[in-house]
Parts: sequence; structure tokens; C-alpha cells
Amino acid sequence: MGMSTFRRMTQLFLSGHWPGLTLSLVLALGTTAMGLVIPWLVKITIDQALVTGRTGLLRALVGGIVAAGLLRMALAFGRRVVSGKVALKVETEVRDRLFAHLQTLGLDFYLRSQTGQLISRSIADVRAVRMFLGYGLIFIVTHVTTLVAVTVILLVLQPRLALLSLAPMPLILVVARVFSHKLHPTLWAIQQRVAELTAVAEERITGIRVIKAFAVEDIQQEAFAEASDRIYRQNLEAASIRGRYVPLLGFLPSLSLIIILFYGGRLVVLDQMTLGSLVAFNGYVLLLVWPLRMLGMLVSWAARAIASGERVLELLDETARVTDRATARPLPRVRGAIEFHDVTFSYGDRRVLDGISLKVEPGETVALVGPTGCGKSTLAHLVLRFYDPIDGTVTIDGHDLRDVTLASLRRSIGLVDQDPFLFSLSVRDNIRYGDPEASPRRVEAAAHAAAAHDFIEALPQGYDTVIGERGMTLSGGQRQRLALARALLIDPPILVLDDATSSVDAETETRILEALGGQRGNRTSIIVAHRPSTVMLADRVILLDAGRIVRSGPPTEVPWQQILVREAEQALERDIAAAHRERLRETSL
Amino acid sequence: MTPRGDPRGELPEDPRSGLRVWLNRRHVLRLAAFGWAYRWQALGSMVAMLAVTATGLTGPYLLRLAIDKGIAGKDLSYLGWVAALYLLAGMLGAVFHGVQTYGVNWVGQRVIRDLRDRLFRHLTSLDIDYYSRQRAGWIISRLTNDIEALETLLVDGVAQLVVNSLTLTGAVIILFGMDWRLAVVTMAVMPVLLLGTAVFRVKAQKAYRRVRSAVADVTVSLQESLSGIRVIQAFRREERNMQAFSAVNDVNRKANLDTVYLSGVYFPSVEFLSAVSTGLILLYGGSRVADGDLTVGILAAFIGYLSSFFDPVESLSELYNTLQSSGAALEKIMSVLDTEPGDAELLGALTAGGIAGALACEDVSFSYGADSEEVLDGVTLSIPAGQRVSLVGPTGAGKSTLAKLFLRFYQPTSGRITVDGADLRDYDIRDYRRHVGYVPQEPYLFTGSVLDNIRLADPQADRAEAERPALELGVHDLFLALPAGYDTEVRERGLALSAGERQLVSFARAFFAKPAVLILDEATSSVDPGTEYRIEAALSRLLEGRTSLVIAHRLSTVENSDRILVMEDGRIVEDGDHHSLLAAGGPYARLYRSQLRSVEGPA
Repeated sequence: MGMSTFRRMTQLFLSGHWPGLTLSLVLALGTTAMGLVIPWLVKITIDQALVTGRTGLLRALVGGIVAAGLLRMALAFGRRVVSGKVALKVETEVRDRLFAHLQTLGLDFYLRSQTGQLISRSIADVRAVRMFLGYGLIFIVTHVTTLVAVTVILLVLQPRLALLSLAPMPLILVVARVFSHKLHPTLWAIQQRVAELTAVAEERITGIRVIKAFAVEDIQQEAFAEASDRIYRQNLEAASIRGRYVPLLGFLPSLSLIIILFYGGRLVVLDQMTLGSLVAFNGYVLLLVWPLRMLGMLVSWAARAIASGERVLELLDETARVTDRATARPLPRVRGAIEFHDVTFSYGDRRVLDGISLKVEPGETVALVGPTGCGKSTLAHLVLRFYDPIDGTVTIDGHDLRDVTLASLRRSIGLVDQDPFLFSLSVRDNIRYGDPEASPRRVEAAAHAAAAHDFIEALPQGYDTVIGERGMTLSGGQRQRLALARALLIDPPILVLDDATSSVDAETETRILEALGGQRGNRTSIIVAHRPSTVMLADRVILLDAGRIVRSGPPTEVPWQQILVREAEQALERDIAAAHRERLRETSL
Repeated sequence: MTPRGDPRGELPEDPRSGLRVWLNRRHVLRLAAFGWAYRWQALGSMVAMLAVTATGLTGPYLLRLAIDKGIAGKDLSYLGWVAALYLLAGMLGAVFHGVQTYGVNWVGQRVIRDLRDRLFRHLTSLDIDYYSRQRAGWIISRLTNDIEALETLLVDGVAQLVVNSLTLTGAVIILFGMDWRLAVVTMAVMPVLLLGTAVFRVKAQKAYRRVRSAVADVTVSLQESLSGIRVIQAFRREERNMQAFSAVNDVNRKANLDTVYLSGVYFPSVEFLSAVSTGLILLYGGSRVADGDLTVGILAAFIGYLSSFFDPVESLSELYNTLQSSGAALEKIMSVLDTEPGDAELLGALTAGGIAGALACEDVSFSYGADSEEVLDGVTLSIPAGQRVSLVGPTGAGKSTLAKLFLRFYQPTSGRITVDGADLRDYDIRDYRRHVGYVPQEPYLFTGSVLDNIRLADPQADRAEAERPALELGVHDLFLALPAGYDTEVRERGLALSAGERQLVSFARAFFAKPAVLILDEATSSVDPGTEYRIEAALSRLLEGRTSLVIAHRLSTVENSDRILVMEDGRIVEDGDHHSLLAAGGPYARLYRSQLRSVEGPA
């Protein structure tokens, strides 16, 4: 788990940053070296200058200590800036990359994931990775170097004392390893709990209107508190692991100090070692104590970074199911002939389309009708290739959608979705979302066509009015009209209206659709609708039921409403009959 | 309806708070209040910290004793005793360190949990107006990023602060105790240190504020892009969106980079001062050792204590980073906690149990902001209990707004709304809303099963009870036909269901609570005529004895109501039943004819 993630993290995230990392490492090593020089100078000072009382030498050595300090300062500054820059760059890149990747993932992925989870991974987890790659890695390297250098120096100073005082070292390494193994799963779980909480919060915040309308604030608070408590308990578990191992890792190095004091002191008493050497020994082992104590922290750090890295990699490993084939070509000028050949589709285990074959002629307007959940929207979405059919093909002008580039395909289609999602931008920028360079004239023309111009003009800043998140302060009908204008702006040869005017009043709707019909010329339109007035404007109506086409023909000839109502009546009767039987059974008991 | 004036759609920051971010004392006190419940545990952790500090400080002193008495005095048994003491101190220190780590986490994590819960609770008590202005990503950033920053403060920060301050104080006391003149020399670098720290503090303050708002911007951008992914992909905005996100992300990087430069200058400088101090001790102390005025043991102990002096200073400054980001985070969190819930959420004294549901508006006007156009313009209206009222009119006429005023999502700008003759303001709003069923234009479902979504108002309700509304609405079999029936997972926002199915769940959810008043805002706009027929057939029965306000565009829904109100430009322009309005030949008759015509097709 740990190591392979770590290797992938360094490969994936650090490529292109090796020069910077190497430089910061060199600087870090320099800083460490200067840190080691100072106790050495202190030792010489005590041994040579103090004992002999040579003030000239004393001054020179002190000057040396200050100079080493100055050099260390410069190197440390360089190290911090270089490594900080690299780390932030890495973080920014990883997040950009994650964002870019998320945008390529298909709707099937978004159906499975929670927005809050994705936010948490893109922000908190990426940050944790940065902290470690930026600082932790360098610390580990400098600490290891310090460890090796100090060991060598100690061995030179006094081999026997060195071996004795370094005796606890292997034990420390074993403890550190156990610690890291225990901590890793807990930290992974914490990150997961945090992401879950983010998801709970995100859904509650975006759904606040429903929560308020149903006065279920209390219940939601409980749900949040539960998620919050899970984080707490997980954190406490981590704390109890830390509470046991971190102090132990802190204590073990003091054993070395005790050995120096006792055994080293003895050596001095027996005149086998100078006092200066003892002080220096002590100084050096103190230098080791810090990195060794930090070992505990670094271990937690690394464990957290690897846990977060796994979570980030997990997202990066998600492959987009709908992508351009290597051989994909741009769709040539679209005439607008859409054909479904025996198309089957399911969401997971829910079969939605079951062998649909349908041919839409260029310039034709087709209305898809049918009972709730019969597959109308899915059929419409397949035209945009939001999903690929499980079986069968969808073609435009004879080109299989899987053989053309997504960009060229979607550029040819204007979609107005059920939920008219608008961005926190001005009305103008929302309308020209599909073509940000569109001139004001084109924006207004699109708004006119969607019967939106008048109400836009009445807004406080007209077309420059910024609409809130999800266009919250506009009415449903107004938002639908903006979404329609957005689709019309790109003047697509194919228009997909998925229940796009359900909140627009009948009069305005008729006006819009008649205008669309008048100017549509060669435009092929697929309209998902429920209102008879909408369906009447189509050339052909397709009645779907349970993922199959059951009737099709001109709207004046297909009594789709009657069929649907009759079926509803029968279902109700069955229901009533079932309830009746139920009651009979109960009374007979 | 018109949007708010504020172009970014966000609440302005409190201008006063911009001046002194660094751990506003009032905020810290309020944060401390969260810890009051755990004061004994906190005290216990504090004692452990004290013990950790004390045992930590014994090291160099024991070294001094070992050198001066044991080694210089050539007393090996004394040396043995000192070593034993050292071992004891180390072990005690480790035990207390463990206690401290666990204790501090125990208290800190609890406070964080409580604060997070409190913050969420407060957020849910804020009115709808707040949510129309604040972007969801911004709020989420408070609950996650800012809380995380505070967690660092409470769990790592407080312990570090205490232990380091104690170590620092202890070291100074011991140094002065051993040799005050040498101690003064050691402290000679103090003024420079203090000055540098003060400068660092001022600069870091600004940098960390920028970091906090930059990370919130990243969250906002991310949240919106994720929610609007379908539009983004359909309109191929991936590339541009990527650039926009990159820009925000880079601002975040640059904000962080400023903090890197600051600490890059500061921390190495402190280390340098430590080297200068070592030099000074050797220079001055050395000459005194040469004069026989000072023992080598004391000199060694001084150098040993230097790290007890400079390490804490460094840690404390490192802590400044934490304090800075926590201070900025705390400020943002407190600004949310300080936001008043708004008039609309005030809890009046009147309970709504047993209300009959007579609704009335008295000269009600409403606009969404001071500079916005009036959405409702002097609406006066009285709906007797039990009446079925339909609201029709062009989009943007104010129908939904009127409906929302009856839910008290907003308060009228002028005029008043009464329920059963009492001002709606006087009701306990949550209790009142429990007696009102509401089906919004856009059904919003939560992650969970169909069943859970229906019994939103009472998650403990049993299955039969949760299935009842769908049975009554005549759509039971439609739910049963889902892959796992009522247990089908609807996923975030209900994306696993079709739009019509989402509306049905939303509908069933409204009836689940057996409300006295029903507000249906285009509740069947996404269902097919068949399903609508079922609901229509059920409604005449279900709405009996309930007051209902139905907003609809399909006239088939409207015809059956007791009374029809036609709204235009924020006013009620017609009021009557289907037949009388048709006969009157006004706007309703026109509306009706135009719809009829379009159904029959152009002649």
C-alpha cells in the first residue's frame, strides 16, 4: 500500500521539479553541515582556548562560530524559499491536474460521487500531499544525513563511547516503523471521515430551502453532528496511537545522553577523554535527539501524505468512459440526421432503453413523450454522448458518435437541460457560455429568441446583472429561458430540449416555440415534453414506454395523452383492486 | 424577480475586523468558552505539559552537576546517581508526554467537534436570504478548511504554546539562577529578536489572511464547476474553465508563497541569533573560566540551555504561522456565527398545532433587495381555511415569491401576512413550517433511499407510514417499479432518478407530514399526462380539508380549483372560479384560449 503509492506520487507529482528539489536538498545539506560545524567549534573552544586561556584563539573561534551561523542563515533561507516554491508549485499542479481530470469524467462518474467528497480530496488531500512533498521529504533527507554524519563524527571522537551511546538507535528505528504501520490506516480513515462530512455539509447547504420548508433543521443537525463525531472519534484513535509512540520515540534518544553522561563522565575521570570532547559528544547527540524526536512527527506526516496521496490518485485513476478515440475525427458540417440503431442502455442495474431504433430526418422536430422514467431524457442525452449505449449505435449523418471528436459533436448540439444550471456570472456571460467571444448583438438575438430579452432588460443592471449561484434569485421560468438563450446562441444544427420550458407559462412558451419553428429551417430538434401545447409543435411524436418505442407519428394522429391517461387509469384500478384484495385478506383473518 | 445588487453575490467582510486579525481577543474568549465544559481535562493536560517542561529542563542542569561535581570531583558514584536521575526524568517525561498528547487531543478534538456542530447549527438557522447571497462553496470552506486550520491551533498549537513558553521561562530563570551576568550576556540578542518578531508578525498577519480567502475561492470555483458539470461538458467549456480554475489556484499559490518568503527570512535569522549567543557565551564566559571565576560545567550548561531558549522562540514563531491562519479562520467562523438569523427565522411564541389554515395578505409588497424592483406590489388577499386556490400568470409575475412568503422564507417589505388571523411573524417558525407542505419548483433530493427522502420530516417513521403518501397519490406502483423499489438509492441531488420521479418523491414528501396547508409550486411540471392524471385524481380527495395554493401552468390542473388568482407584475389582476373567469373574458380567458388553441394545433 504505502510504498507503491509513494513511488507513484513522486513519479507523478514531482516530475519536472527535480532540479528545484535537488537544489533545495543541496541547500538543506549545507544548512545541516553548518549546524554540525558549530558544536565542533564549541568543542575546540573549550578544549584549546579555555583550558589554555589563549584569548586570541578564543576570539577567532567565536568569530568562526558567528560566521558559520551567518552561512547557515543564508543557506536556510535559500532552502526554505526553494523548497517552498517547489512544494506550492507541485500542489498547484496536482490540483489543476485533478480539476482538469474531473472535467473529463463522464456523468456516470458524477452519478456515483458526491460533490463534497471531490472538494475535500481536491483541497485538503492535495494540501497534505504538498506539505509532505515540500517539507517532509527534505526533513527526512536532512535528518538521515545528520544521523549518518553525527555517527561518523562520534566514532572519530571516541569509538567505544560512540558505539555505546548509539546502541538505542536500532530500537528507535523499529519503533518508528511499527508506529507508521499503526498510524497509516487511522489517518486514511480520518481523511475519509472529513470527506464524508464535507459531502454531508455540501448537500445540506445546497438543499437548505428544502430543509427549511420541512423544518427539519434538527434532524439535519443530528446527521451533521454524527459525521462530525465520527471524525472526532477517529482523531482520538490516532491521538492514542500518537500518545503511546511519540513519547517513546522522544524518550529513547535520552538513553544515549545518559550513557554519555555516565560512561563518558567515567572516561573523563579516568583521563581517557577530554572534558571538551564530552561536552561536544553531548552536543552532537543532542543534535540527534531533535531529528529522532521529529521522527515521530515525520512518520505521522508521511502517513497522512500517503493516505491523502492514495485518495488523490484514486481520483486520477478514474478513467473517463466517454473519450475521443485515437481515430476520432471532427464531425463534418452537420445536416442533422440522427439515427438510433437498436440502442440499449442501463444505469447500473436499471435498464432504461431497450432496443430503441429511431431515425430523425434533418430539420425534423421530434417530441419524445411517455411515462415518468421511461427513458426520454436518457435518449436525449445519448445524442450528446454523455453516455455510450451498452448495445447498438447512435449516428449523426451516418457517423457513429464514437468515431467523431466530442468537441465537434457537442459544438453541433444545443442542450437545454431539465435543471437549468446557471453560473455565478452576468446574464450576458451565462448566455454566451458556449461562445465567450459572442458579440452583444448575438447575445441579445439569442435572448430575443428565448423570449428573455424583456425581463433581462428589467433587471437592475440588465445584461450585466450577476445572477447568484444556481441563478437562485430568478424565477424558474426565467432561468429556463436563459438556458434556452444559452443553447440558441451557438446556433446549433441540432437542438435538444429536455423538458426545457416546463416552468414557462403557456403563452410565452407558445411564443418561443413558434419563433423557434419559424426560424428553425434546417435545425433538427429533439424535444422531451409533457405539455400538449409543446408536443403539438413537433413534426412527429414518439411515445416511449419502459425503454421501448410504442407509438410514433404526427402529433395529430398519435393520441399519446389518451394512451398515457388510460394506462394511468388502469394502474390506479389495479392499485385499488390490490388495496381491495388486501382489505379482504385482512378482514378474513 | 431580480437579483441582489452585490455583484459578487457575497456578504462583505466586516471592515473593522480587517485591522487586527491576529487572534482577536473577543474571538479567543468565545473559542475558550467552547472548552469550558472540558476544563478539568484541559487542566489535567496542562499539568502534564508542566511536568513535560520540568523534566525537559533538568537535562542541562544534570549535565552541569555531572561535570562540576562528578567529573571534576572525580566522584563516580555521584555520576551514577546523576545518570539515574536523568533516566528517571526521561521516563517521567515520556509518560507525561503521552498523557499530554492524548489529553490535548481529547479536549481539542472535542472543542473542534462542538464548534463545527455549532457552526452548522447556526448555518441552518440563518434565513434563505443569506443563502441567496452567499455561495455554497464559501460556506463549505468555513465548515472544512477553516475548521481544519483551527484544529491545528487547538491540537498542536496550544500544547506547543504552553510547553514552549514554559520552557522559555524556565530556561531564563535557570540561567539567571546559575550566573546572572552570563545570563544577561546570553540575552543580549533579545532586542533584535523581539523587533524581528514584531515585524514578522505584522507581515505574516496580512499574508495569512490572503491565504484564507484564496483557499475559499478555490473551493467556490471547484464547487460550482462540479455542480454544473453537465452544462460545462455540453457547452465544451472544459478548457476555459480549466484556465479560470488555474488562475484561482495560482492566486492561492502566490498567497502561500508570501508566507514562504516571510518564514524563509525569519526562522534562519533566529537560528543565526542563537549562534551569535553561543559565541557571546564562549567569549565572555570563556574569559571568566580562564580567570577561574566560572566553572566549565556552568558554561556547558549555558550552551545546553541555549537550545532550550532558542528552540522555543523558533517554535513559538513557527506557531505564529498556525496562529495566523487560525486567527484568520477563527475570524471567518465567528463572522458566520455573528450573522443574525434574520427576521424571517425568528421564533415567535405561537405554535401552529391545530391551525385551520386561513391565509391572508394585507397590502403585501416585497422586493429582494433595497435597490431591486418590487416583485409583489400591494397584494391583498384572503384565503379561507380549506380552500383550493390556483395561482396562474406569466413567469416572473411573483407567484413563487408569494408562495415563499407564506412559508416565511422572506418577510414582506411592507404589509403583513396572517395565518388564522394571527400575524405570521408571531408564529414559532419551525413549528409553523411543519404544518405546511411544500413542493418546490425544483425538487431537491438528498443522498439516500427514496424512502428516506419521503420521510425526511421524520426519519424514524416506519415503512408503511412512508409509503402511505404515494399510495394516496396513486403513484405507489411507480415507486415499486424502481430497481430496488422504495429502497432505490437516489444519489446526490436525486440524480439516479428521472426529473419526473424526483418530483413524485418531492410530492410524496410534502404529503408525508400531513400538513394543514399545501403549497405546490409547479409540482407536476415534469410528469407526463398519465402521472398527472393520477395525481389530479388523488388531489381532489387529498386537498379536502386542507388549504392549498397551487402554482401551475397546465390549465388542466387549474380548472378544478375552488378559486383562481391571476397574477401579473406583482399584482393580482383577476380572482374567481374557472367559469366566472372564462365568462369575464379577461386575462384568464385569454390564457385559457391560447392554451386550448395550441393544443388543437394551428388551424
